Amino acid sequence: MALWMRGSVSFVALRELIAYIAQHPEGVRTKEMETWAREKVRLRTQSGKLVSKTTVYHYRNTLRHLGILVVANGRYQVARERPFVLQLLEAIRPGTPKLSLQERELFARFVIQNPDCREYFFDLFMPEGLTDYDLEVFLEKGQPVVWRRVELEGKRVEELYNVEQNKKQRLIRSEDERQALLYGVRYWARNELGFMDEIFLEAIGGLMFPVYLRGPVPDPSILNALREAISAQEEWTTFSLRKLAATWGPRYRLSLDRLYDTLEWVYRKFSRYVVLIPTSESFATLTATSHQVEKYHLRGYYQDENGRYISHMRVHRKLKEVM
Amino acid sequence: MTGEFTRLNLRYNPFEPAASGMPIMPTVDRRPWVPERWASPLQRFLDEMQRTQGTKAFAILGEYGSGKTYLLRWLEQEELPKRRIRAFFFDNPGVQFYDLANALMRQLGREEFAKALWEFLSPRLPGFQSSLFGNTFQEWLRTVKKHRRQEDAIRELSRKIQEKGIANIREIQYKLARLIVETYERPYFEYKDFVAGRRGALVPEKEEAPFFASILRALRLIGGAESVAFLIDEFEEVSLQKQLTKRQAHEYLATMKRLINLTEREQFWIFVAMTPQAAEITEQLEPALLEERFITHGRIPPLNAEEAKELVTNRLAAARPEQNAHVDSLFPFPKNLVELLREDIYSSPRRLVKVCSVAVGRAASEEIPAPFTAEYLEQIQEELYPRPAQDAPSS
Repeated sequence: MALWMRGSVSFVALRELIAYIAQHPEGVRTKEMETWAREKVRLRTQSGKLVSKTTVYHYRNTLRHLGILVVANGRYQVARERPFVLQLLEAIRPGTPKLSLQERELFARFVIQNPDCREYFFDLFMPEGLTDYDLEVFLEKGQPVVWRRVELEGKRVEELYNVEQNKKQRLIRSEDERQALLYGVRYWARNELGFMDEIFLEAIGGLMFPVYLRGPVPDPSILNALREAISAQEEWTTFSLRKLAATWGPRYRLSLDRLYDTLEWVYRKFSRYVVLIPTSESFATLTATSHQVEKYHLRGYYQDENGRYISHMRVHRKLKEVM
Repeated sequence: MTGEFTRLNLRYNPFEPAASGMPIMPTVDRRPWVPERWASPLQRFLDEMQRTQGTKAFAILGEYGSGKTYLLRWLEQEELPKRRIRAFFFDNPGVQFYDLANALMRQLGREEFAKALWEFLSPRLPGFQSSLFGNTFQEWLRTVKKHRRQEDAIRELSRKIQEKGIANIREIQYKLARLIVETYERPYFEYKDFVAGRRGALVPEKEEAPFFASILRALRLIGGAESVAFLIDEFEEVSLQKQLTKRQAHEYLATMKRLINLTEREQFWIFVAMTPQAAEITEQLEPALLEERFITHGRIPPLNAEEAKELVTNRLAAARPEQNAHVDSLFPFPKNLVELLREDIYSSPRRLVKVCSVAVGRAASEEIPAPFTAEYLEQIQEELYPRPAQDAPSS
């Protein structure tokens, strides 16, 4: 059976669609949905194009699989009796360009409780024996998972494995799985809903890890960890920001944005004790083979206000005392 | 212009506005100065490896503006010549093995290299009176050409190349000999000369590394040096000119590996300067390169207060007028200059030099009183390296 998860699905568009269908308790037919999406509200894809009929199909299909919509007599209706659906209906605020934190959190619950998303993707993150989990448990207990391209029997396949339990792995061999898992669920969790993040490391591949959806900036756990890591003997300590991200991100379940925002806060507040070390953009993308891959590699770097990609940070030992 | 600096007890502004690499006059005796903490790891490495067998490769790690180029130039001009090591400086040489050969030979110049090698080999062609060949390289080449004795000349040169221990492989002997003889028609190198496999190439196919080793041996022997060193700057910038494919990236690392292998067998040293990021990615892509092969790598430590003061003092001393009045060594800067600068400024040579450059330059043209005040220096620091605005914490 083909998998249904697709990366072309925008959760902002899903929210709009839910709000539209909720206004019609008797349900909405496919044709009406397409007319509404393409002619009335003129929904756009991420690249700015008017959504196609196929995209609208993926939208309603995703909502149906996630259990937010049901089909009765050829009409799509909101499944109000299902868990979290009423909460979602109360929370959604259509018309805004981005999802609110509450909307992201509720959508994340639907994604994480979906049997296909779990079986093919999220189960890989869970410690041995932990099969009953919800969003909170996933965020609290989920372990980092790496994905990378490998060659197997002369063919290029993608391998996903749990960093802490190598036996827990999955090979992606078909284009359908690739679209559903790498460009579907992974993309939803990382880019659309923000409960997972990822950093590319040359020797390893893409390191994915669960991250809390909310938290303060500066983050106190990062400030403590930084204070601890500064050498008291050396006048200056140099940190590789990507190494910090790959270690502290999964440990404190913090997104790259929150981690880098915290470090930027330190830099702004104690600028005389912190020196940002930029890197050459082309060296940072040394192994990239396309513009898309380049962008993917660069997303793991902190970019300062001047647009420079910062690879390292030099910190004076006095920061230990003043921070 | 000098007049404007007289008031500051200087002949010129000794700080360059865009500090990068070695200044023209770094100190009074023109000898480049480096802090002891920078010099000693390299000197220890040179001392140790001159006495023992092993890989003679050193990676100098430092952020932009930390003094990597300066340190390489110090090696080139100061430390290596003292040890009779002939140094060649490469700035961003390209990704493949022949790029390096190309850069090296262009640095030397074909005619110069061929002439020096010819003099060292002193070939004798049988059946010809020595007077026919005259005394100079050009006359010899002309006569060989005129009498159509190129093949004989190549054979004789090949024999000498083997005899002197420059190359054992016949093909390499032949290619080196050709390099000399054909200089008459083409006294310059072309890029294609070093692309193995191309028609007329000077590098034998699949023998690039031994060919390179022979060139190194030749360089050492004709220069009367104990060994040869390559100083490769901006390792991380190779990919700037063009986007490297994965294959090219690995080719670059392969080039480095082959060069490093050469350092084990030949009287040959490599010093590579790179940013911490370049070291990190190199280590991830090719762990053996930094862990085992580049047995030594050292990070340039940021300047401490004493070193920063010494840098400024040295530069100022080089620019003092001959009838130097007894002024403070830091004049026109105040005695407590370093205390007035931020840690992130004085610890970075480039930032320090730039701040000093603007301070002196502006003081000369705008009649700023000397010694400079704390406010004046603070203003320049903020202008050049403004502190970022502080963000309020948020949830």
